[in-house]
Amino acid sequence: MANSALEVQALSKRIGNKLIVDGVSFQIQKGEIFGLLGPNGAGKTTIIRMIVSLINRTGGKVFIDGTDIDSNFSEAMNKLGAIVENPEFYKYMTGYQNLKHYARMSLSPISQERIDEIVKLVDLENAIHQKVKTYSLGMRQRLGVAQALLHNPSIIILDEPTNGLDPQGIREFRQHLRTLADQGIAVLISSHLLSEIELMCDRYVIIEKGKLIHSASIHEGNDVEQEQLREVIFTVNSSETAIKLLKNLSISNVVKKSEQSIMLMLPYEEIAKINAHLVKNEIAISEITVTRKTLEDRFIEITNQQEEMAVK
Amino acid sequence: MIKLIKNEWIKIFARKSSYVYLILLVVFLFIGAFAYDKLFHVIGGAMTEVAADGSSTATEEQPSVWNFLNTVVLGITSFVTLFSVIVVSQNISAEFGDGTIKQLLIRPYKRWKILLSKYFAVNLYSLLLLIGLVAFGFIIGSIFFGTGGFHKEIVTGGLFSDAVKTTTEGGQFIQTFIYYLPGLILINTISFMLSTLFKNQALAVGVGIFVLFISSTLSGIFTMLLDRYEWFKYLIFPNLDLTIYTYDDTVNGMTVGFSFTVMVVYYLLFMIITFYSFQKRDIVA
Repeated sequence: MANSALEVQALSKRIGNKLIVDGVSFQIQKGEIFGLLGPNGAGKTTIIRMIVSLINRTGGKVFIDGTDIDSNFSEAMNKLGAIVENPEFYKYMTGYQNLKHYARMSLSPISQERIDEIVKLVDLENAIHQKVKTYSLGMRQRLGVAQALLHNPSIIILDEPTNGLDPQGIREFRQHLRTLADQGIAVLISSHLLSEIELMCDRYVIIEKGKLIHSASIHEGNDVEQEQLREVIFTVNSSETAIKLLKNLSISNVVKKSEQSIMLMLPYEEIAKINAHLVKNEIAISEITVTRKTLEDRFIEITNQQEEMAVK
Repeated sequence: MIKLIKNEWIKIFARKSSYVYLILLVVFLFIGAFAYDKLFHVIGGAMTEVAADGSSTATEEQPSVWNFLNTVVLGITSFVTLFSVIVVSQNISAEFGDGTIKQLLIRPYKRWKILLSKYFAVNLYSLLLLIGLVAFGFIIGSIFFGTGGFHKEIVTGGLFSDAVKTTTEGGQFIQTFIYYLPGLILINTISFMLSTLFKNQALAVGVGIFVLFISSTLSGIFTMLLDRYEWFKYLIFPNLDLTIYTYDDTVNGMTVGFSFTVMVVYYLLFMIITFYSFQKRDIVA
């Protein structure tokens, strides 16, 4: 069996009496974009810093492409690339000098061609010989990716990668990541921006108060449980008549949005019935909109449940 | 490891200030040479007058390059120490301050290797400043005062005891130069330790310079207190400067061997503190 690009087993971190991270385990396969999701202060950054061994682990194991980071640190680290928090560089050196600097620290030699290739990949050819202090945040982010990719790692870890990027930059960044994943590189992303994770990742876990509380793939996440109530908007020729008709069905939680549209909460399978009823009574329906549950809603839902449980 | 040191070396010289310190040393040398030249003309003039009187048999003192090295150049070594402290302190704390330490430590090298490469690089820079100073000092001195004078006999001593000794200008310079080195390395090591512990750039440079200045002041005070408190001589401050032993073999009952041993002990202690704390630290910068 092929190794997973990254495997984390029962990772935990204790500072004083507080468990900042508590028994977190997950695996990331090659070519997969994996999201680490959670509110600020949930312990995402601590998890990432433990994986790249900037922070000592209180407990747990980290395997990078099957190599145990404890028993074979250098070999494991050589298969990993990362940007931890902001992409920081030596501002007084050029982008190229910075890359050369990191290239020298690789265990496997990195050729001139490889550096040029990476620079081209991240679209920095025109600016690479300028000092990093002249770079925009987007350019530094790209240089960060370049630096992480130089030595052909099995996995790259990006901590809050879209922080401070403009929408255009975020879109480009997303495309870059997809290209990388298609080449078989695993990507670990942390973010508190739920919509971002939703757009970028194949799979994600939610971290809350240092614990892994939910794990899912984006695709399962999209077909939300059938019985759950959704917000449904009917665009009709007359809101008044429609509301009256629905009242007769003893559905009272109808909100009149405008003269032409009403909104109500329905489980998925009820939508067709309501539609049939309205049409039968000569209401012209021009549009039915079911608001898709976003990751954001699920996230808040899940974290709220968690909180309620904690209260109980 | 060589690659790591090369990286650090490149980073030191990617900063303009690293060149500025070298240039400043050369400027100081020129100023020193001018002043020293002027001084000798004045003294020389006075001496000639005395000699014309016939009441003095003093032979006219002519400064040589070795004489210049012994007085002016060795004086400027304080600036070598000062600039070294600044560069050393900045080296680590800047990595913490800019957050680049994170990117540096996620490479396939153990932390202590990365720290050691930095330690080597900054000490090499420090040595470069010193060698640059002596080399330029020799060139400038030769231009101003002519070569030669290496074997000229001089009398030193009597600063801390009544004993005097005779040596040559060249011998005196080489001995002072060698005695200066351990102090420089130890002060670099202290600065290196402080910047690793504090992480804060301004604080590290500030405290480093503070230690440098206070040590020269304190060593004077300590020397006075040495008579009363025997254990004072085991402190670091009275032992930081070995060059005093070029004048007298024993100073306050301490010898160069004793001071050097004390330095080695402190050196090992500081290195252990530095590397241990760096190895264990959680990088949260």
